[in-house]
Amino acid sequence: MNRDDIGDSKDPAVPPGWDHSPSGWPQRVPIIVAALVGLGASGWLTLYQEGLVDTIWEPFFGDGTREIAIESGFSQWFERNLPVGDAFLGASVYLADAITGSIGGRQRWRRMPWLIALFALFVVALGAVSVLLIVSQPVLYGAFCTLCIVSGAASLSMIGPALDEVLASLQHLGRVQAQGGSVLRAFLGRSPEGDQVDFARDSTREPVTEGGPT
Amino acid sequence: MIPRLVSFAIGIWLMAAPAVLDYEGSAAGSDRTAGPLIAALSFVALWELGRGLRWATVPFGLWLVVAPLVLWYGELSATLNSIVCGAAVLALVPVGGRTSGNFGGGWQAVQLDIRRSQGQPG
Repeated sequence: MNRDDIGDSKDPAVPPGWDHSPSGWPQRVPIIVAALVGLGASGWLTLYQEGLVDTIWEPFFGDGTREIAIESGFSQWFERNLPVGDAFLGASVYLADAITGSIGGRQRWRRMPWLIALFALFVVALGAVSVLLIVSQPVLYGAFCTLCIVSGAASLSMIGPALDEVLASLQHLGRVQAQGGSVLRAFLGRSPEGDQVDFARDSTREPVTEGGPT
Repeated sequence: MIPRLVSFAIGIWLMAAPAVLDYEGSAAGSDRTAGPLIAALSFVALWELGRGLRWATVPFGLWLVVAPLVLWYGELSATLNSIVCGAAVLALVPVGGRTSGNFGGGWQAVQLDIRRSQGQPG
């Protein structure tokens, strides 16, 4: 793309000053794939933790997974005090990542900032918790766990690619505010004028109706 | 990009170092804590919009340099490893790397005052 074309796109899914849509499928599919990988790893750990399967993939660290998923004080605290295990909680958040990553079309950074906020909350919270678990496991329990590291890597790899939608939504809300519109209404996607803000200076750029995933 | 990858590799190495160089105790605990945190922060900083997170590795780099003196490791291998890795992480932080600038001005361009979220009258 020619440098002069940036910000001059006729595509309403491309934010002003950007050269691509942050909500485009090439941006989002890798995040969804990573969420499904994490869901697979934490789903397997859930089945193992609940005693539904006996075998777990642990090629590197010997008894590490059993020591962490079954015998660690952390997992046992969950078992005593909560109806679900820590692996199940992780799997639920991966599923929430995959769902909130899939909803909406190429303009969702503008049409659904609330969804971007929810998506970012899940992605960042999961990444932070995964890293803290990976830190705590060898230090507190003297063990590593292969699927825990796979899960942590999956959750970390979602954060970087998720940031562009967060930025696009924040820039959009800033433009709405600069023009005197309601940030709250724009955040909830209930402001028809919000759509106009990004294209106010170019009458040839008509916002188009969201077509959903294609 | 390259500085973040090197920093990431240092973090992963610190996770494995206690087993490879055969040391335990507080030295192993320190490296197994700082390692994954440095690796994780450097990994997210690979992406242009997360690049600023590289500054969050500074406290861990500083810690690795002083930890052998504060906790008095004893083992020479653990001491040297900690100081060299910490100094390398710190040296890489100022190197921002190339950025495309295709993000409408990036985070600096966000001008949003959430205290005025209801919009202005008139």
